[in-house]
Order: sequence, then C-alpha cells, then structure tokens
Amino acid sequence: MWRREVALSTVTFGILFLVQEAFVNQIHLPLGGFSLILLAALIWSSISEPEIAGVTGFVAGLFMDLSPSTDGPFGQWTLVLVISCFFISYLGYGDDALNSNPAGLILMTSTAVIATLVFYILIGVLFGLTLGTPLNVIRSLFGFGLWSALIAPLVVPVISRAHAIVYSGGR
Amino acid sequence: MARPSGGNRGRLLLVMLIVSSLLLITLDLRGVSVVSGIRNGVGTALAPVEKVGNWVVSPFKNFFSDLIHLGRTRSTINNLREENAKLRSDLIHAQNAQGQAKQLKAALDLAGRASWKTVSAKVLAQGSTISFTHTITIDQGSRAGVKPNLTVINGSGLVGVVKTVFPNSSIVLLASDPSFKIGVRVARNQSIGILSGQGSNSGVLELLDNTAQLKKNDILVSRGSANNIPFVPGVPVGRITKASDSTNSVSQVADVVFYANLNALGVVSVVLSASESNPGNALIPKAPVPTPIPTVTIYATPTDSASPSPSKSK
Repeated sequence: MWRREVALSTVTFGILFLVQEAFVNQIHLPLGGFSLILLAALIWSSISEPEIAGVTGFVAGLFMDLSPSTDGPFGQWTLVLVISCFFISYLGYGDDALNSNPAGLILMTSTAVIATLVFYILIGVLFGLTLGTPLNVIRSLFGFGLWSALIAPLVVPVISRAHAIVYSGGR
Repeated sequence: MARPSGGNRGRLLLVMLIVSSLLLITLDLRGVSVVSGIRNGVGTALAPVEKVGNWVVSPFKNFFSDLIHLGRTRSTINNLREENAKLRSDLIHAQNAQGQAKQLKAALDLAGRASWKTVSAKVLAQGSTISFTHTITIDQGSRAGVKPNLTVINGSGLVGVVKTVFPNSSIVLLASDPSFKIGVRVARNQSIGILSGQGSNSGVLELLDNTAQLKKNDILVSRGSANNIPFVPGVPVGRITKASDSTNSVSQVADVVFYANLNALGVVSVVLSASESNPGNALIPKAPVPTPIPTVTIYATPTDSASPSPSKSK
C-alpha cells in the first residue's frame, strides 16, 4: 500500500528537514518565524486522502522530533502531526471551495498551523513543557500564523507539484 | 467529491500511528537511550550542514529583525556610545585616584616614620606658562594650618617649601626652582653643603668642606633649620649623579638628581610640625636590589664519535 508514495514523500520531507535546519533556522525573523516541514505537511495533507495525510503527518512529525532544537519528548510532534494532518485532510477533503482555491488553501493552512501549535502546547503542558508568559505564547502564535500566511503562497505551488509527482507520476 | 467516511482500514491506520507516537513518547520519557541517542546522532550529523547554512545565510540572517528594530538599534548605539564615553571618563578618574592614593600612602609612610605631623594636599596646578618660577598650587591653606616656609614632601622625599598661603590653597616653591636653596648633609660622611635648584629635576650641590670626598650615588638628606623652619631634618633630597674631581676649585661641586619626580606631582604633604628627635638617615629609601641573572655553564667533552669524519669523494 503506497510504498512508493511513502518513500518519495519521506525523501521530500527529509530534504525539507535539511533546508529547515540548515537555512530557515539560521534566519532571525521577528515574532518567531515558520516551520517549513509543518507548513509542507499541512499543505500536503490538505490535498491528500486522510489515510495518506496520517502517514504524512507521522513521517513529518518524526523529522520534526529529530531536530536537535525540539524541546518536547521524542514523539510529541509525531503524535500532534498525525492527528492534525488527519483532521485537516478529513475536514478539507472534497471541499472544492477550499482545496481548489489557492487563497482558501493558504487561509486553511495558516489556520491549521496555529491550531496545530495550540494542540502542541496543550500536549506539551501535559508533559510538563515550560512555556513562559501567556503574552509570549500569544505573540509567538501570532508570529507563526503570520509568517505561515506569508510563506504559504511560495510553498503551496512547490508542494502541490511535488504531491502531484509522487501520487500521480507527474501527470 | 464526497468526503471519505473513514473505513475500518483508515481508522486502524490512524490508531496504529497514534499508538506508535505514544510509544515513542513513552520510551523517551522512560529514558530509553536509543531514542535520545537518535536525536543526538542527528544533531551531530547536522552540525556540518548547519555550519554551511550559517555561512550562506550569515550576510542576511539578521536582515529582517534589524529592519524592524532599525530605530531601536540606532538608539541602542547612541546609548552605548554615551555609556562608553562615561566609562572612559570613570576609568581615567579611577586611574588618577589610584595614582594619587599611591602617592598619598607613600607620603604618609614617610611622614609616619619620622613622626611628623603633616597635612596632605592635592596638587591643583603645576607652574604657569607665563612664570619663570617652578611652583605648584595645592588645595590646603591657612585653614588647614599651613604656614609659609613649611617643608613640603611626597613619598619619595623633598618637594619644596611653602611660599605663599591662602585660606584654602597655597603656593609651593619647588626644589627645582633656580632660587631654591637648602642645606643638605651627605649621608655617607655627614659632610654638609648647599643644594640649589637648576630649573629641572636636578640640582647642584656645593660642599662647604673642601676636604670631603663626594662619590657618585651619595645620598643627600636635609640638614634641618632652626625650629624646623623652613626645613625639617632628615628628609631625603636626592643622590649625586656626578661628582666633580677638580682639586683646584675652591669648593667641591656635584650634580644631584632629586628623589621626588617634580614633574609628576599628584599629592603632597606639608609638614606642620616635626618631632624633637632627628630621624637621621632613617628616611633614606632603600636601594633597589638587583635581580640576580641566572648563568648557565655548559661543559663540552670531546668524544671520538663527535669528531668530523672525512666525506667520501666520488
């Protein structure tokens, strides 16, 4: 079942992981920044079936957990992304008003980024994650959402193209 | 397109993925070294990649934050410049105070050994560009008990004599002034003479006794005056740098360098009253002990193997 697809998507997220660690993490952006893998995983999932989205979330979450700068326990991002990717796919699948419309896709992805981070924070609180003041958390969430909305228009065409190559052989 | 209903296969897959994630979390929280080792291994492997990324990104990595904080950055630079200027000023003042404290301690040590009653004073001004006399202005005057014709010393020895007194300041005639004269005694043979200033940090000694012999590095101390005015006895004055060996001259003359550096006076002490006893040579500074230089002697014993062997010719 989707052996080739999973392998290719793993390679894709592996490349994104290297880009994230080597370049994106080095740039000091105001109000936080963005996660290329998180953004790509949510875009990928929003145009995929829920089962594929779940696997995509698992693979992307594993890469995010591998990052040395991750503060939670290993597997936290995996758990969060499996559920988030599944739900964004489940909620958006077949909804042509959102998926086929680039603006809708960007809006949905940016909202999903914030929702995923809120979910990550809630799970993190259960594991004893230190978050700082509520103001800082709100500011970071706003920054992540803003940067995701700004970057998403650049990422959506690339991820959509990669998704098409992986799942339909580029047709 | 219809929304997928989520069949059994899809649900099972989702549950398996969630359980796998929870298993990973459990293993990590229980401290299984394999899981943490994977992250450490990835961190180690990523280090060179991050280094390359940092090199590529470094020209513009702070561009966005600098752009947003441009006004704040300028303000920070201005604040830092002001702070830097203040710190430099404080440092200069601290160094100045440290130097003055050192001089004051030395002067008090000298006065303390002789049991003199002194008043310490800071040098406010040194000489004048439109005056030919060598004087300093100190910040103590008649209110502190300073009177004309009192001896002025520092940690090294004689500085001069109080010339003019004001309520809160005084003018001191330095020993280097050409008009300055003091009766001195050669510590080695107790010969007495008159030392005159020469307009620099040196003076000329004229011995009253022509038969006495002067030598280089002979030390001079003040002879003292009646009622210790203007000079108290026993103050180190200077040492002879060059003794005249002329036998035809009426009196013996020698060049003397003052102990006190009269060009770098920060704090001085005015001797208000001296003890009954004469300190004699007790105040003469000890000669510096030269640092022994280690010598290495190498004995070489010639051996047969060390002898040069003839080279082979082709």
